[in-house]
Amino acid sequence: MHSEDRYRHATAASGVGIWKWHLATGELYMDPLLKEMLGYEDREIRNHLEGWGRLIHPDDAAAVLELARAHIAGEAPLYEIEHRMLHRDGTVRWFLARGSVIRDADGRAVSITGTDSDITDRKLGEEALRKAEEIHKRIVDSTNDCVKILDLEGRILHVNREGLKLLEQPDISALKNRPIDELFEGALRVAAQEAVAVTRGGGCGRFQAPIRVTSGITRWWDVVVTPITDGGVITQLLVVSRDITDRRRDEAFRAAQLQMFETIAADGALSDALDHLVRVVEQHSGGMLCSVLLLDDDGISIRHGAAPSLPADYVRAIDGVQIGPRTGSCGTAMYLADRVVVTDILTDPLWEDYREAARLAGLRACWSQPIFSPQRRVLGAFAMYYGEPRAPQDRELRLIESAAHVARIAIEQYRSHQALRRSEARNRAILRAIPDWMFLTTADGVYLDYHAKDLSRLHAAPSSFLGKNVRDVLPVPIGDTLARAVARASTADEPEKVEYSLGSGDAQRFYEACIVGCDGDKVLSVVRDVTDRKRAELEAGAQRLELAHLSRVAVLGELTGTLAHELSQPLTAVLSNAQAARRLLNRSPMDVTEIKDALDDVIKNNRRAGAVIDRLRALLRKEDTPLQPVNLNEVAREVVELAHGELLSHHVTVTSTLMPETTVVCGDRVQLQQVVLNLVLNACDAMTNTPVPQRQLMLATRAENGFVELLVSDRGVGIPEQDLERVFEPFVSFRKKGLGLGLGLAISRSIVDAHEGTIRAENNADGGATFRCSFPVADARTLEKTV
Amino acid sequence: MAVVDDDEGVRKALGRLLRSMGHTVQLFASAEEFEAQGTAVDCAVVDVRLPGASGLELRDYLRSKSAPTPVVLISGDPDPTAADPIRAMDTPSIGKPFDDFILMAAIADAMSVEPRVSGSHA
Repeated sequence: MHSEDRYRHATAASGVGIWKWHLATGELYMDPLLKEMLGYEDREIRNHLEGWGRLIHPDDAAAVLELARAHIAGEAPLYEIEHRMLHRDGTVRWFLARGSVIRDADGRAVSITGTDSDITDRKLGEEALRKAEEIHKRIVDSTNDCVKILDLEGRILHVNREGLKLLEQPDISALKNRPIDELFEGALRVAAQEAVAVTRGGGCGRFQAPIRVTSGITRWWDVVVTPITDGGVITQLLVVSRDITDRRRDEAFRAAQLQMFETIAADGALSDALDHLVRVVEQHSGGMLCSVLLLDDDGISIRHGAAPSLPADYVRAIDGVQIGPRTGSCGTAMYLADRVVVTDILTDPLWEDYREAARLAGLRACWSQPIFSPQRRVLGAFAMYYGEPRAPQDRELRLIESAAHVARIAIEQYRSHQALRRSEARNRAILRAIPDWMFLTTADGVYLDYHAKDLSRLHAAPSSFLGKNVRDVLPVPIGDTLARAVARASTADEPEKVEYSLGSGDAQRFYEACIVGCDGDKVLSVVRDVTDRKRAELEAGAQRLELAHLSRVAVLGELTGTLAHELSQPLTAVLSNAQAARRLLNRSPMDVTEIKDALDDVIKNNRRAGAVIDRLRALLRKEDTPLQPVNLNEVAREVVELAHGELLSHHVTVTSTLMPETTVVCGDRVQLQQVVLNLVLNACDAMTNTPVPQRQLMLATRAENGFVELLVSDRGVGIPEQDLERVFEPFVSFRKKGLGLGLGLAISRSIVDAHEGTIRAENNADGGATFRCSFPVADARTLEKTV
Repeated sequence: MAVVDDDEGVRKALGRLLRSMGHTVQLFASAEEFEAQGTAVDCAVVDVRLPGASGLELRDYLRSKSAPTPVVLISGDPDPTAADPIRAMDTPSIGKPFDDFILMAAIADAMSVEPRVSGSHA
């Protein structure tokens, strides 16, 4: 067995290929396994240095040959190198080559024999690890947190780049190997030591701490310490410190904002609210003093807002100053509506007029941020003062912007709160001032709330109606009427109006309710006590009735002649029939049928006389009658009957054109008769000089657009145009006879007005005059009121 | 006898009364109706106030004929002669309502059977 074969046999299973390089010939024997590792058959690669050399990665070839040379020359004790080889499939393989030179008896190098092992997997693992570590390092370096690595004793080994920046250190040298607890003072130093101890024991330490950095500003840190382990053994400690200064400040701002709102909501002064904000800002920025100035409504005067830490004399000196282009930092900032930064008050021209006051107050630097309303109107300014000349850092500018923003919210909150209070006060004043009562109900009429200026004048105590239905609270017809109106109002756009009265006699009071839907499913009823007005109306109504009655009596006086005639007819018939009957009784044979007919006619004509008397009685009646549905057709017919004699004696023919019977108006039947009778008698008078065949009186009714019209038209002399309106004035009479009071048409108009109607006179194109009365048609709702 | 009155109740009643007195009676609602009938009657009881031609006009017409018909004027007005006292003067006139004997007297007067009577319900 060839010795190389033995080697191979020995190493075949180990992934290691052997080789032997004869230096004199350049022959390089390679284990077929070695060739196989690179994807080749044994015969495909010549066993010569040149054949192998081509498979070495070009970047590594020089190093491999140089090491071989050095080893042969005795300069390198070992031939051992990791290098890359090119696999047949184009990939790169890592090999660990190890070998040693064999010398002859004279010490001359004859050959080098060694092994090659494929270490690609290990190398790739290492590469991956290196990359992972690189990424990890970059993460650590790119984080905004301060990351430190400590040894188990708590000494600083490493600080990431951001950490150095945050700690304001150029490099790690000042920190290296310093115990971390030296960064803290007092109790916090103990906290740091404890955190290290806890972590060393496998736990996790955490504490929050302020650290004053070299620039003099205190920053707050949230410090977390965790163990770094290697194979389950804690080797180092990892400290991640997060700068929570801004977060803490934001939280403080938020808390300040809340407290400000509470102060404002509790009707506290705006200056108290702003004081709180100023203190919070000052507390989060070492050595800085703040103030808030407000711009007066006049837009030019500065008003003190809040400055709890500034000297009182200084605050007083500024209050009332007018803004301008050179008015310190704040006055100028408000004037320019832009931030103003003054790094040294003693030299800046803006402060010329206020330099002494600032010097006495020990103020040297001041920057001011205008406070804007959402409409960019200047509300005031937020200022930061320092005792030494200095320029603001970015973070300080951010801080002043935040503070100005919070101040704006507070100012606006305060103003809107004040506006709300004023409008509430105004509403209360209005409510106090108006005598009306208001009731809020559901759409079903259940009382929810009320407003009453004077509780004692309410019909019932609030406790007795709240939560109850109006139907159960008020007497039946009124409660029902109101409940129906409330239900209608809840769905309608138009307000419902209802008039009603409660109580009786002297205690009777009249109310007018205006009912509107509101809030979707609720209904507001505004109720007014209209008793006084109602009584005045009733009194006027009574006078009107009295006058109307007098007028009727006067008209009937005029009618006496024709009425006597009207009565004489049935009375004649009665008497004659009765006497005829008596005579018939004495005759033989008795004509019983004729006697019975005579008696029937007695009864009939007696009734006829009774009807005439009834009509008279109605017209002469004085008292008011309740409103009722009235058919104007019936009124017209009754008047024609009543005036029959008068019409006959004037030789006046009546033509009636009446509308269908169904339409009614709401009114007083007798009064409406009076109006029509008056118009009919006037028409007769007007035609005194008209030739008999033309003495025609037209009576017409018609319903149109929700109104019923009644027309009385004559063929008389007409009315002078200029008097068409005057005829309705009292004591203006156009009646020839000089009869009556001259009140007829005036009374007629007042009656028509009381029926919410109109009456007017016009001349006909073909002669004579027409009087036109118009009344609203009674619908279900107006009729309901008559109940 | 003729009764001329536009009021049906009065007309019927007077007709019945006169019949009960033994007269034969004809009834008319207006002067025109009566004239159109053209019947000769012993006496006409005529209402003063009639639609169309009035009672007085009818009386004048009847008087103008070759054989004048006696007329009794009846009226519902308080004073039947008030409207035209001169013209009514020589005609018996009675106011409604009247007793049967007043009517009989007036008819007799008109027919000049009895001394002239003028009266009223009063």
